Amino acid sequence: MVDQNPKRSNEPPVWLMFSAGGMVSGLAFPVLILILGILLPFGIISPDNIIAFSHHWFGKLVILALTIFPMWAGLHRLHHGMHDIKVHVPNGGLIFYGLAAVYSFIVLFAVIAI
Amino acid sequence: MTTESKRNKYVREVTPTWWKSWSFYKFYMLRESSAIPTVWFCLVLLYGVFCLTTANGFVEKFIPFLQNPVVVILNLISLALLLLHAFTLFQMTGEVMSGSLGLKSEVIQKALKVLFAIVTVVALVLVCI
Repeated sequence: MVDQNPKRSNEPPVWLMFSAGGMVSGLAFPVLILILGILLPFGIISPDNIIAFSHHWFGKLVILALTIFPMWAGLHRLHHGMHDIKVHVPNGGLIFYGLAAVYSFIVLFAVIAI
Repeated sequence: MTTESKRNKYVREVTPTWWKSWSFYKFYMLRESSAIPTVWFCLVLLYGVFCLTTANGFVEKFIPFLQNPVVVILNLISLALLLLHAFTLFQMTGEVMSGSLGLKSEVIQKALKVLFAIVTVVALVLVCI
């Protein structure tokens, strides 16, 4: 007898966010950290272009992709990394993916408010 | 009727420091630790977005925050670990995807490195010009 209502795994959507986030952070975070972590605070570049970019609709889409996907990847990896060091957080999945979801909503509303 | 084994099942003990025994595992843990700076930098970006929502907030709040020595040091550590994450990711993705894409893993790895260079150059050109 085939179970018509199997328990669905959260893995496909979570893995989608995790792998997208891994690639986005892999391709863009090194240069973003270079820009925001070194060039901007030491006055090597001006903030004007970044501010102008953030007010353009395309810039807002880029900011959403750059902030949201990597957070899902980071929290997914922390969730699994905790098991690697034998720290079993109760309801870990709910907590880590819940935090990622809350963060995503905050980012979304903040980007709309720019 | 089922027969029950009288022997105790052997379960190998795993300690929280299991990964310290072999350099391969140490490198795995070092790579996995890059998840922490990923989360850190996402929070930095969120703060930047918050500062962008108010007039002059980016210049008056976000840049002074980025100039804090602790933030500079955390970002330097993040840069090093995210570079390690990026290049090991390109390596792994090449190996994993070569089966499904039917391409040699070296081709995918090289393409990802070229894409990384393009993203880096485009981002630097966008902020500088």
